Amino acid sequence: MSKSSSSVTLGIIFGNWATLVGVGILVVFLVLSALAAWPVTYHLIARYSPDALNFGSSNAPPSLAHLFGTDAEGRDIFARVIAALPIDIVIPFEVVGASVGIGFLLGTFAGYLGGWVEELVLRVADLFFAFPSVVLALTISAILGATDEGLRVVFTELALIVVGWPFYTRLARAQVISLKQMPFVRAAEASGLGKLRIIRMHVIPHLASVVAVYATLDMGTTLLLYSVFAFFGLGVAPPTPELGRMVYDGLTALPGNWWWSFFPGLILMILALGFSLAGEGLRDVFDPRLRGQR
Amino acid sequence: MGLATYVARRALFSFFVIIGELLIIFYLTNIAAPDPAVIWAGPESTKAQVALVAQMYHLNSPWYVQFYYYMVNVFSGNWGISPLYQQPVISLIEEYLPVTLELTIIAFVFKIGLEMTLGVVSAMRPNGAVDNLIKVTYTTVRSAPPFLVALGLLLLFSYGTHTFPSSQPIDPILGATVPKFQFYNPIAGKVTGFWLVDNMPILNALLVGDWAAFSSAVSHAVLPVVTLILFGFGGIVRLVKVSMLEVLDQDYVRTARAKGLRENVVIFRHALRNSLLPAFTLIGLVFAGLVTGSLVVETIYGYYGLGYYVAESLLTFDTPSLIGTLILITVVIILSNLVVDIGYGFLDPRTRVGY
Amino acid sequence: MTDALRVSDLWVDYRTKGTWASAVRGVDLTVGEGEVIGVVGESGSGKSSLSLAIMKLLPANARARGRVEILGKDVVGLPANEAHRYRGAGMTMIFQEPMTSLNPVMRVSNQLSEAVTSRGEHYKLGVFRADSIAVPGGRDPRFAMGSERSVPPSKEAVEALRQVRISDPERTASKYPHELSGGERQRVMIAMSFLLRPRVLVADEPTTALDVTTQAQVLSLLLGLSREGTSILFVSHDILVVGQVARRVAVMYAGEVVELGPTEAVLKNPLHPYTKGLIGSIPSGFKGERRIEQIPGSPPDILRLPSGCRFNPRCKFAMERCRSEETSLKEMEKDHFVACHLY
Repeated sequence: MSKSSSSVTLGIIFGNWATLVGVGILVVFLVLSALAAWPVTYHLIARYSPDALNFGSSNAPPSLAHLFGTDAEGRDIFARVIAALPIDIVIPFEVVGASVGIGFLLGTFAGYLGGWVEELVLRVADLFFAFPSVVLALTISAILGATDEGLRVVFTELALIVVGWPFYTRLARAQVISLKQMPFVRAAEASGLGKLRIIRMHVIPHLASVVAVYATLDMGTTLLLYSVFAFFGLGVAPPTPELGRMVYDGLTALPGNWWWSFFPGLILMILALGFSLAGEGLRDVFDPRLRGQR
Repeated sequence: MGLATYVARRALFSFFVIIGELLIIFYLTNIAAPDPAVIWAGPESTKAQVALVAQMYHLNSPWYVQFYYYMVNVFSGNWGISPLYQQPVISLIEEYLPVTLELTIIAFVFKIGLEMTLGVVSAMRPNGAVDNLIKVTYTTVRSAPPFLVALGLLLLFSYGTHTFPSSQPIDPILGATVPKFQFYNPIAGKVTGFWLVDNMPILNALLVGDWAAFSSAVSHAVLPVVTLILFGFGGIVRLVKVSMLEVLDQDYVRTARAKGLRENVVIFRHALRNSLLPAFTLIGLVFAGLVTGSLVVETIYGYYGLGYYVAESLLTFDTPSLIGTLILITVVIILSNLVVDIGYGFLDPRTRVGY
Repeated sequence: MTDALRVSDLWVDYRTKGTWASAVRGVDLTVGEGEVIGVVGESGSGKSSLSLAIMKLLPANARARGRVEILGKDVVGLPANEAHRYRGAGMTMIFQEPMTSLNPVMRVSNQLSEAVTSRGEHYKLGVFRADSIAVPGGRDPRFAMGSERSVPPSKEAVEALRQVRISDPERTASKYPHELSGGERQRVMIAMSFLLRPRVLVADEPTTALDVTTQAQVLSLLLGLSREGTSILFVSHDILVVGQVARRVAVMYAGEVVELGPTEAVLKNPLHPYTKGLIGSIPSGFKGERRIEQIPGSPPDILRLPSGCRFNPRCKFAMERCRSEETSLKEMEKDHFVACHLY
């Protein structure tokens, strides 16, 4: 049984070229960012230091020497893009991970326990859901980060988590409510298993696949959202390169030196596309109802 | 009957959302922040300015006194003074809000119309060539960060072909000379302008009949509107498609076919309304998304509206402006959600009983 | 008597797991004008697929082969965009689920008026003969997208609701479906058929979801419709209900008609062991007998049909021949056919 279902899974993943492309993009970028975090290999890939100023070759258009061109200070854009990858990839993982953790926990218990716990959690989630989340997060981050440049990225992540968790709470709760009606959970209850044990053994494994789908899709959205924060200077502190911020910096050079903003933006897009394609592929695997309906 | 209760419930909830947000902001600015006075005065301010601000906002009093003045100020429209512009926030909003409102409403109408149409079209032949093309398009477009789309369009159509201007809501010379729309206001008993209308470049030009200004304002709005449409594109397409496919499988659609209705009558009269209903619940989110998108779009196109104002405030940590605009945007979005909810109640008779 | 509906050698196949599986296997059936014919079988016997194929309403993953003639015109080969001409005034259908068969966002009156307009258009198309009814023309403003105005329901709609014995028809007409009970909704569906005046009506388990008293009313309404000249194909799993309305009964098993004959003959003298089982499995306490016979086993999976007679694995009388040789309908008595090797 499990053997045939896993071969079905593989069949879907490899039968669908879009999923394959998505997974491929993610693998390439994850490897690149892992290597980029390691100085030795970093210099092999990027060939230039991200911070090396070289006014002799400033504002150079894309060429073989400088794949993505250089900025006003002669820094190699390609090197800076590679250097920015670890941060831009880690942040969605942190933000979505924390949102999933909080939402999963609250939603599972709210759904399973019901009563006033559920009511309270849902109302609070609704409240957060109704806010214009991005503007709220931007404001939070700006207010708290106004005084300390180094803390801005932390506040930005916190802000993104604050607006991110309600979705997972609702998702987990809805799933638990429907799981509660399932015969195997009923049977577990009838056999006198404790609530915590039922949640751990029966509810969480079922929830995990659904949450994985949405978390992957959300990762792409969070990446783009974070890039907007970085665009407005609410990301990591300046000397560290950052894709969203590079786009903003490059705007000053328009219309001439378009490559300065364009390539960091393009890389963001490809990365977001990878998350979105991989997430849709996962959805096909875990949610057969939607298979082929996209 | 049920509708009044339903509306009342939604309105009450909206009120709590606004209060909740005010509490969060108050907590952040006056309690959590290490130095509230600096936050209100702006990071560039002098010691004397900070002291003045601390006195003005009662920042040295206990928190409940601060809270009292904070709430009184919020509800009386006294939203502080922007350290960047040295003007009251409320008057800045009066100037910038209409510009963005006009832009987002235009984008909203086109976006919803386009996405719903594409959703219906892809449901007609699922997995057909057209459906796949639409799918590929929106998957790619929605992965693009908003500034990349703006940048691409700017490079192509503004710097490249010079088809559309690259910045500002209207040609500055025309903008300065176009008269403001005046009308007889029965309440004031005299002929006046109206801030909401005369700060909307397109509508104002249209109302005073200045065609040069009108065409200038329209051509300045094209690229921002297109960018906003493409921002987060595809959510509604997919929702409409899935729900259309579901609806086409419903018994009542079979009944309609059994009645001998033509296929297009079946689709447009029986299936369409039901399949668009779920999309209506997303409309509030779409509008919120457009407001968010306007921050980036207006920054890149130099389109001086609320988004530009918020972006400037973010970049300079102009807290009073940020808080003022946040409250405003929340109210606008919550009101639009309320309108959507009530509209939904009218469109789907079942909700009127359910609530 | 001319035949309103003639089904000949009809096959319905569904696409499953890369192959085609047949749910209806070579069915022949004729329904005369104004005749009520019952189709009986367990779930999975192919009776619903048969109804949908006649209506040309099969889902996208199904195909029909053979002929279905409505007043002499074959609809199986008809392109999809022309099928609507034969529905409505030609043939219409009442579905099993009254709760979901009406559009939730349209008022009852508008859904009924639509039937009137549809009928008018069909008469104009000249596919079916027009009678003395006025044909409304032009676009009906009530159906504009998004508007669901509270216009006074048309006289005909109210009259139809009165015909199906709905109390206070004016008020009911201006309601939405969710405000009606299941029985009321099914009667609205029948009122719709009254307004369409179809030549052929396919009623797929129209009474299954209803309570017993409502059932009886609905049955008598259907009989009333047949007296006005509509031919009815009454599909049900319940042979007794069919017995109350149908002049002839066809018993279906595994996609085939296994017994066909006048209702009385089939009920009193069932020939096929399956029919005997069906009648035997009805709790018949009122006859003074205490047996509740069950047919052992369950209907076969259409992907794995047994060879020979499809019923042989469940049949008490199965012989060697039943396992190897397929059956065909034989006329045993006048108009009473059976497909069984026992005879």
